Amino acid sequence: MGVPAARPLEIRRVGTDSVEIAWSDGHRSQYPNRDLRRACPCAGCREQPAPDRSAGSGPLYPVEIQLVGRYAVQFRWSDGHDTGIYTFQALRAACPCVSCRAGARPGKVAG
Amino acid sequence: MSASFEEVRARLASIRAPGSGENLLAAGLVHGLEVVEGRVAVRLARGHLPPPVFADLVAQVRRELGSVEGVREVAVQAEAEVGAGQAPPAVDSGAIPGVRDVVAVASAKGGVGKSTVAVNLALALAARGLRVGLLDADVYGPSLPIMMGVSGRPRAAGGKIAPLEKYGLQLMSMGFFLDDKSPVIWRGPLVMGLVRQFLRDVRWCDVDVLVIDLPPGTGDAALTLVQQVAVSGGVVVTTPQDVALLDVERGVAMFREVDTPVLGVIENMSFYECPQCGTRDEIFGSGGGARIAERFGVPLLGQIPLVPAIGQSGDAGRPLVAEEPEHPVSRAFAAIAARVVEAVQAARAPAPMVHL
Repeated sequence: MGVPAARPLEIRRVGTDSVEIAWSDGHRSQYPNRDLRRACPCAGCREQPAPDRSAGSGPLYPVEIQLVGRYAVQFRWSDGHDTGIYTFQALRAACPCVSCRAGARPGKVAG
Repeated sequence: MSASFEEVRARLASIRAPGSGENLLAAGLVHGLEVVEGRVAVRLARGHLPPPVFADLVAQVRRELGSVEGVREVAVQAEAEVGAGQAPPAVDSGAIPGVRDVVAVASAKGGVGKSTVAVNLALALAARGLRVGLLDADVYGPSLPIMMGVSGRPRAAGGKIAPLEKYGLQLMSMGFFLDDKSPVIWRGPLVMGLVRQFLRDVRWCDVDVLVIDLPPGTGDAALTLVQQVAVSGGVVVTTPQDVALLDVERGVAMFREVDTPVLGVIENMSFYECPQCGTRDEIFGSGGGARIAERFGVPLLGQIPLVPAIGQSGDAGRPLVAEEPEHPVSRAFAAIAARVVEAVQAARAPAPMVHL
């Protein structure tokens, strides 16, 4: 089944701005909380994108981080939402860093 | 030079546990320590420390260990005291309290002897000197009470359910809670609640390997289980027929879906060995397990011969591996258990450290 997928070695809340994941492939990804929250994969958010609470002024950060089996992670956000299950695979693919973005969409100018 | 385990350990022993005269190690607050090439990972128990005190302690440990020569990185993971009646921990690794490794036994359909395999595999693992738990998670048709010859209701102990014991195994089954033989009809959400309770509320005692007999198929109940628990590896039981093999594809796919390593395939009812003349008759065709193993890149863990004794012993509540360890079937299970232990060790990937 191809190359083994990257596993997270470490998942860390960075202040109240972002979440950082260190991967087994040596990469480090930093995800802004608001982007993560907006990309919530839960059925509710996919069906009906919530009114953009991320526009609110208060800080948005995970108050609880829970691993789901061996394949995903679940956040309880400071806005109370907690139903999104983020798979490691999807998170690795969604790494927002410049080099990953460039690799993911060849031909496009990064940044 | 990277710091050695001993150097790091010695530094931990120099830190005083808050509110006691002892150091962290003596106070039992250090639940885990790993030192790999200058990266240090510590698991700290909260004990009964108030959150601000604990936070200070975490900071102190980070500082102290960070100053040990050759340490590049320090990760501290907080661990809640099990059953201390506190708020649920903010970090949950999906691990089952009291259990080190979890092996889930699956089949994509019923009738292939999954429960028989689970019971005898658990016993064969125990025969290797491991402490083994067996969770019959088949909420629809629990068979463990009959197969192991145990009845009676598990007792509650300290807000948890104590497993029953027989043949040295710690046992838990929905069957222990049913009064009669009427079919069990559960609606989806009830099944989930039940499964979750089984995972969190059983007081397993120092179990090296927990064998979970999954509900048959690849439906909700089975999927929920492998999703919610950090399963070390899955085992798929099949028979040699081609049709059964198609079902195995689904079993393997289910584990892969949730990134659970498939330890291998066990082919049950592989051949019939005539007790009189000793000839082998491959009633259901041959080599199916090997084919599927090759096709999916998972090993064939072993083949179990079809003998009347295995079914009879199960019905009588006297499983073959426990009662007749020299029986060819028992030997087959012993070999399988050895491979399972090896595969679990190979598949053991540490859970990510989570810092909040």
